[in-house]
Amino acid sequence: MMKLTGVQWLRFAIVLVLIGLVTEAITLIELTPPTFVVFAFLGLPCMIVGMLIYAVYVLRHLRKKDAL
Amino acid sequence: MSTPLFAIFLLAAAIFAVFLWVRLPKLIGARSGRILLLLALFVAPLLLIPVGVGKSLHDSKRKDFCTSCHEMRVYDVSLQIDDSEYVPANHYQNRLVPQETACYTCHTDYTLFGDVKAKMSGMKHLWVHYFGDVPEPGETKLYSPYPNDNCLQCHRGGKRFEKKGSHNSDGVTVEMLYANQKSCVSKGCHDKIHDISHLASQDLWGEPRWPLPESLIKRAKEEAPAAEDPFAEPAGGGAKDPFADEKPAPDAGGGAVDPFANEPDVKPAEPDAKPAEGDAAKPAEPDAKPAEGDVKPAEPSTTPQAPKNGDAK
Repeated sequence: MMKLTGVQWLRFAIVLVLIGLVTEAITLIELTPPTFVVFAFLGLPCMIVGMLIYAVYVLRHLRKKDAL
Repeated sequence: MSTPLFAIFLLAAAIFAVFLWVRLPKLIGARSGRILLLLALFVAPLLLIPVGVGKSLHDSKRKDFCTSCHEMRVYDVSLQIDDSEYVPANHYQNRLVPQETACYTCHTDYTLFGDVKAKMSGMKHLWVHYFGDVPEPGETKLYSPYPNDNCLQCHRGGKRFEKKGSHNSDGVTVEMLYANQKSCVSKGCHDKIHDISHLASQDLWGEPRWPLPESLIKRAKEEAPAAEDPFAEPAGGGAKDPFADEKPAPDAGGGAVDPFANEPDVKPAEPDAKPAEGDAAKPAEPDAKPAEGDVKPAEPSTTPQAPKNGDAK
């Protein structure tokens, strides 16, 4: 399995959060059943996963520096 | 938010993402950069998720949301049927249910997970819309029998409801309705629901909000009795004069025709059921009702004929 560096993980998180924000913006502007489903099943999980990746990165970074 | 603003928002988000992507190694190294990352990747999503979820869940209860699929538009038109015996039309037109959320109010189970169940049904609708066979208008059915609880959420305990003769007859009692042993929409009771099959032949309250499907219009033409066409030739031969004085008004004396004597669409005055003041979500009892005493004996209530906002197969 390909091992990602810290910066690559953060870049991955950026993409995920961006996907989430875009789907959310579309849903808020034009709420239809398809946009609702795309936001609920794609955008929302993407945003949550992106946040978690960032949080894990920060925690590991802090632990590495003995800040925790 | 208007479309240009949305475009600006998307552009800004894209530029910001590219900025973060390119400058990421430097951002990580600087304190201000780390704060920026914290805001962009954690704080902003944390704040925006509840906004998006809350607003979309709230707005998905609106009738406009349901009718954004063309299959549901005939049901919207059915709310305009100008006949107070039609339960949904009567509730909608007299604001016995909130007009903006009429579909949601009557088609969401009032249980802990009623909302979730409704959303899952909506997913099924969407699946059928894109990947399944959409039934013809008027052929759609409910996934499950219409539960009395959806009516009783408003009507339970109401004086008019409980004292009504047809709810206290031999075949039907209030207790049976409360126990869901007899469906409110059983044949002979409140069985005039959306009636999509005959929608094109119904008088409507105002102009139809959506054009009706050709199949319904064709069916209405087929079912319309030919005798209603004043210019149609009678079977026995000989042209019929559409202006012939067929039924002179009894009090007309000199043969003058009362223009209102044969008015076909005169409706009885509507009863005065009104929603409780200031509480649109808890309306009073509806005035759509069968004549008292015309309720048929109890029968299994498992197959109400209500059409559905959906595509059960």
